[in-house]
Amino acid sequence: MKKRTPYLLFFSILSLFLCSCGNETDTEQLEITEKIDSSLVVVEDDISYTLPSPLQIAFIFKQAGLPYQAGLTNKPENINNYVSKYNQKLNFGVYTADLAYCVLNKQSQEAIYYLKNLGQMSEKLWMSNIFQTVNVLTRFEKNIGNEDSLATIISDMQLSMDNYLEENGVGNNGSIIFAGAWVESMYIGSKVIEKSSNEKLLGRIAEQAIILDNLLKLLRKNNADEAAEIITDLESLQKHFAKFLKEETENEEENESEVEEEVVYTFSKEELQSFGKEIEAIRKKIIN
Amino acid sequence: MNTIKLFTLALVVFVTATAGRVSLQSDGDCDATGMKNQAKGLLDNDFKYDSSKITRFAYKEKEQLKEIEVPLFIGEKYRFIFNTAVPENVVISIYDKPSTAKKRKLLYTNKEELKGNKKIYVWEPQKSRKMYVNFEIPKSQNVDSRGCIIFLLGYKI
Repeated sequence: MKKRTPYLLFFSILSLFLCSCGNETDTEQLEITEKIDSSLVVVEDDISYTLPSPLQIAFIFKQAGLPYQAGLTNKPENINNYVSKYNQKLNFGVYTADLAYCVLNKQSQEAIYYLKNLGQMSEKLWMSNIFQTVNVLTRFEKNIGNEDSLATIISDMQLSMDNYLEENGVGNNGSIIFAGAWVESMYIGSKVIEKSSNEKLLGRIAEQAIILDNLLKLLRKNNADEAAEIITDLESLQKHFAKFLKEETENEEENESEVEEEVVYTFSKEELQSFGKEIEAIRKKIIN
Repeated sequence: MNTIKLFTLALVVFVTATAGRVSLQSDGDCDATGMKNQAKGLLDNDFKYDSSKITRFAYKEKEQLKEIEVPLFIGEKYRFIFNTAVPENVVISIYDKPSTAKKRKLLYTNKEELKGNKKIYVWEPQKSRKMYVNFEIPKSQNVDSRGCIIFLLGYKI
């Protein structure tokens, strides 16, 4: 036993030494960081972005007078076309937007088809927990006809999905899912408005400039490789919103005037047509 | 055989020492899901869940600033809820422009509410447009300590 003691001591000291070395490395890194940014200024890594829920987009469109038009949403049977995880994430978003559109327009039977689709897709994406946790389908069927309760169930599902993605370290998937939902919402909005003149809805579609801006920032930051194609497509869409984004930037840089001019979001019919064509092409790539 | 025992013992010492170090760096009291659910309860029946963001951080020997860019739709009613698990107080402020802007307007700050054990802060803007949430994390000598803040946004239907 006496012979073993020195060895034991040696290994114990070595272990503690190795651990303490790690601390020194951390301290060194901290010092380097301090040298780089000495004042209280936010650095790119410390900026994060939020995105609204697809239900809220459907809600503000509905409030602005977006009517229900049959045949616009993605067909439930298309679910079998989505094989890659990337396509499944995008189309999970598409079906989420379709579900919100149907719920807010009292299309209960269609909403149930989409809900079942989302259940199936969540299994493919290993997210089945989000449906079990809040018992979505049972609650949904019990509350058919009660628009407010259905909206609550969908927003609970959104929270459950956000929690799941966060807990499992795959929060980045949320941006891709939202990209699908956003494209679908814009497609529905621009398609419906083609046939009717609605200034309020035109304004709501134009206001999406700020959402597209945040979505692109998130995709570039977290999904640059996986979502390269949709990033390129969405970047191309930004030209339709360029005038609003320029005004926003000018406002951010303004330092003299106390009274700010608020950006007025509006599209002309021609601008909407051009935007609508492009969004339709992007959506086609996603759902086919 | 003796050598194997000796190595096993050394390995145990190593793992124990390493685990001690790792536990010091863990998130401590940050039960993100629980905190989010608690925050969601404050939406009441008037607001629906819109989005949320978890900000985790380690204290450093210098002040830090973290920013969240929040796009809001014009004319809509929102409720901002912050649930904090922080060993040292963090100032939460909301501005109309990013921290890089030359001039910006402070819309909300929890500075006056930091006394006591308050952990949850709620704010409803009068006007909705793009906003910037800032977390000012104070400098600390205890660089192993960590914290997290849940930001949850609700909108009125």
